[in-house]
Amino acid sequence: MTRTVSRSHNNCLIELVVVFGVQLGCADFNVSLRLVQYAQMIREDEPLTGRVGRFNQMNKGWSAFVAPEIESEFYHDHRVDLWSLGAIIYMCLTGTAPTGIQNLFEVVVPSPDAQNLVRNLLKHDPRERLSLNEVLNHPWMTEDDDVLGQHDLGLAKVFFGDWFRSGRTNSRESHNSSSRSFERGLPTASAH
Amino acid sequence: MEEIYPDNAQLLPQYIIQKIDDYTERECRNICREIVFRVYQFHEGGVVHRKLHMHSVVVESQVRLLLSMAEAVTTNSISHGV
Repeated sequence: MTRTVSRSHNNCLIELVVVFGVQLGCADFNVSLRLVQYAQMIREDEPLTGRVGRFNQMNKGWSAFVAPEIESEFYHDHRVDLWSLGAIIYMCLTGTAPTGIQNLFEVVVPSPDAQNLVRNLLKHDPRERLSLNEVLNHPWMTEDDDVLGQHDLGLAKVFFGDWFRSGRTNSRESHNSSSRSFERGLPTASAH
Repeated sequence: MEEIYPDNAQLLPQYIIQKIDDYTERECRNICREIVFRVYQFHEGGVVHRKLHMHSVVVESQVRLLLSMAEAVTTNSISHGV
């Protein structure tokens, strides 16, 4: 732990992560700490933009996962993570990032409950988003395994397969090369 | 820099693709529920992630998820114009 902190002593944010990693009882906080650097690489690298056409619909790469109030630099709070959760659930269901193409979403996602959950997380007004308690108690989250097991996510499989063929699922090999770039100090601004 | 996540861990997209043949709404829901639960734990600890996306989620085993915490902040440190 000491070695890790000293390596990143200039980054108070990372130290904060270590502190909370311990507080939250994350035994693998070292892993989380390193993932901070990795996540930054992903963000800087914008890996999907230009690689998979569907992401170009937004022309913003990962910004679909960032709550609008962060992008617009308005006041924001913990509810920014609710937006991101909605985007992650959307992508897990469809294999694509949320792009505002509602028709695609309705076709790809068979369950009305899943649609309802995502819609109530991807609300531009953070006050209208579901709370985490409401998410955990949402009908889709509590639906019987057997019922959901009957719903094949065929189109999502196609899209994820496409993603895989594009080579950007971040194999360990590609990750290591990214890490080396990070060590050399890849400039943040150049990636955007 | 050495490996930054365990040998048996995968990023979420990798994990889904590995399971793609059996990927149904049930698997999707169960993964998402784990992610929600992890975020819930962070919020309970006063930490807001702020940069959650598909590659922020690491699946260390079939049931355990870790979240990277890029630009995570404490709840009371978020303010106007961050």
